[in-house]
Amino acid sequence: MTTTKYNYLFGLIAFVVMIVVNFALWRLFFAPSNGVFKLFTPMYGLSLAAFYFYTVILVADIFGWKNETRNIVKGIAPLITSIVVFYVIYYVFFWNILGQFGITYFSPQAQIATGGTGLEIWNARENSSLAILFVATALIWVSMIWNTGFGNAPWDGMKQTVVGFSKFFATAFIGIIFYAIFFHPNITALFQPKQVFAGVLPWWDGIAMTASSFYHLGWMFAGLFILMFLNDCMDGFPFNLFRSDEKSGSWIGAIVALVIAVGGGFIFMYITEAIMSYYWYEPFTGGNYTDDPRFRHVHTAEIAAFFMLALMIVKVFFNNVFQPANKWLAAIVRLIVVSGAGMLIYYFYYSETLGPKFVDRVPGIGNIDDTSLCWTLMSMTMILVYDKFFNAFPIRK
Amino acid sequence: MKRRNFLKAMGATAAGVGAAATLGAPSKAFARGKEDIGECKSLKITVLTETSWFDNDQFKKDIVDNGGASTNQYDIPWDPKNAGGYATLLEIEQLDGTVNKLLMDTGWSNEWMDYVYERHGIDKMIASKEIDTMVLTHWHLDHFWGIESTLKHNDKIKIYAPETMYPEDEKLLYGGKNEAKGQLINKNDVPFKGELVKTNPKQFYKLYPGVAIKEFDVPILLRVRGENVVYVNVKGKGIVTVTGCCHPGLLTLYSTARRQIKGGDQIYGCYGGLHISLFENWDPKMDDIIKGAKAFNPKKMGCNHCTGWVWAENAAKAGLPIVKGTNEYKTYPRQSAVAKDSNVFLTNGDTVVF
Repeated sequence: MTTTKYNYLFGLIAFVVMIVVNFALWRLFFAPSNGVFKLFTPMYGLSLAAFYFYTVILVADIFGWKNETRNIVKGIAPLITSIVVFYVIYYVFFWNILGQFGITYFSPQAQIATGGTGLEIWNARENSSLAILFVATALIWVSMIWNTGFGNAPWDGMKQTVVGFSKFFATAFIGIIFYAIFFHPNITALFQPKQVFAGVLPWWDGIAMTASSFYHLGWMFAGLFILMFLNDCMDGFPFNLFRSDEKSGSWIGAIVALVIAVGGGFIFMYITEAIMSYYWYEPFTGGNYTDDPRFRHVHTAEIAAFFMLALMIVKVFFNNVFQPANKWLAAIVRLIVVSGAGMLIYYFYYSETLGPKFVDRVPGIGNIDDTSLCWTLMSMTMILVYDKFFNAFPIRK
Repeated sequence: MKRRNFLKAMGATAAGVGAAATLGAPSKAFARGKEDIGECKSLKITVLTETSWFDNDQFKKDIVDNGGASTNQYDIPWDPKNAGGYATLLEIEQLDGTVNKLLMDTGWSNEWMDYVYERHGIDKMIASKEIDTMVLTHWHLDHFWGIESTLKHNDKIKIYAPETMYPEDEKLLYGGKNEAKGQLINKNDVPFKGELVKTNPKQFYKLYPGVAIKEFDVPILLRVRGENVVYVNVKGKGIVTVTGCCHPGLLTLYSTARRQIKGGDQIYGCYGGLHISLFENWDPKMDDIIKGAKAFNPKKMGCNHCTGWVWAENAAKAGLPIVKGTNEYKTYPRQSAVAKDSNVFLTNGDTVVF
């Protein structure tokens, strides 16, 4: 049996380096005013960040290609692979195959070619990006539930490539169904006239006070935070009850993971939106900024993402900080630490001074064109890459 | 914990959550006191110019080529041939019959604004101080960069503008010029010497009986922040909002009126850009706005500029009281490339009375 030791000083140094790299990457790719490529328009940048986040999960957790050694050179191959896969799926598959020969809205050029109302390069690219963002969300959500509940079951013991492809096809199949039900109707309603023969009108309109799929983005991201917390801060409880030495998961485990992701997601959303209503009054259909139900829902996702980012920082760089023998005490302390750190990042991002300077944004809150999700997803992906492909070198021994 | 116990506990939790969900919406925010802005007899709006630019595609291209919606407007070398401007004349008739004239915004291209001012006699009204106050709704190029056209007739005109101004705005206002990538993008040779009232969201700025400015501190595209909205309370009819771009959102303005203005429960209508389908695109959010606007039951909606023809047409089809414009705009030397015969916009030269 091997044990892992953590060097907290190295953790702190790595965290500081991460902040510097984060700033550099944001300025290179996304920063809207001072950036080099200025990809945060916002949906284009957000979809890129989200899809690359999924690609890292795909390579590391679905195909199981992780670097668990202290040799950082071994991390380069999966890193490059993830970038190539991301590029091929995003630009070749979505923009030039699926969009050109199958579903118009995945390709900006195919949309422009229709000559439809308002379809020029900016709107068309934002439309495609929104669709790809939603596909990525569905895939991330299903993949994380699958990994949590099923693990590698029912393919335990088989070759890693067999397990990888089996899990990929299974999660992609289910992910597409979730996408079709929860997100596709939003995308087909982006056009004039609405594409009612391709997709139903958004059926959640009455419940969510908006026809936007940001409603589903909200509870799904919230559910992901709950799953991540249980996995990373509670040693996988309760899903570990459904595992054994032979089986890394089970049907019941998967159902429990699904129920917790959905139920936990809605509870999280109910609480965060209650707090928002306390500060900003009730939202109403058609409102803007903080009055907009669409903003309230996406802000739930943003808050969940801040918490997920905090959780990853606390876990990867600081080994969950506190290691008591009592797991319930550990869970409570970690919940407090993660929530506190998440709120700190929230205040940092939305502060009048620091946040706007660091991420190059206009101060203020409620602007749908300035969702924090792009920055948090980019930040989480960086940590994921560092953790999965480079084994958090040199923190772990 | 045993597996069986866990599953039992999960079932009980689900039942509890279901019960909690039936308890209703979370607690409401604190109610605040209402502001009495008084009443006026009527409001007449003259659309001096609502064509901030003439070619939507060129305007979008300038934005996209330089980084997108959050780019600093002062960093974009805008196509000068595409510049127009937004400006409105408000004539408020008081209960005693006196009429106050108020200028809203000062456009973008000085050449265009000089033409518009001369056509409507605004230049003389400013020079004679018949118009002595201008409300700058926000610091966007198409509402502010034509400031020289106003100041050259009266450099001491009183201006109400959002406090969230940037150094480049200040430079232009007080006599200066700005360049983007080596290209001159604006200039003002007449430094402002009057009173600048920097508005903030904490209070209403009452101009005349029944007329008040409210600033909304919202982040806006092209790195601008904050927008002034003029609320007019027409006796016996209700609240009318007059906006430049309405970035805070029409229904947010109505909702604010209900919560914060005495008599604000009765919404009469609106005039101005509503910032819904700026680039003639569509989104389910726009359906939300149509649905939400109906709930406020407005009687008269005059819209143009950044509202989007496509939204105005759909809103009219859905039964919202969109006031139709005329073909007067065709007598202007230039027209917007997206103008349509449906006339769902109040366009250049049109008037509406509330």
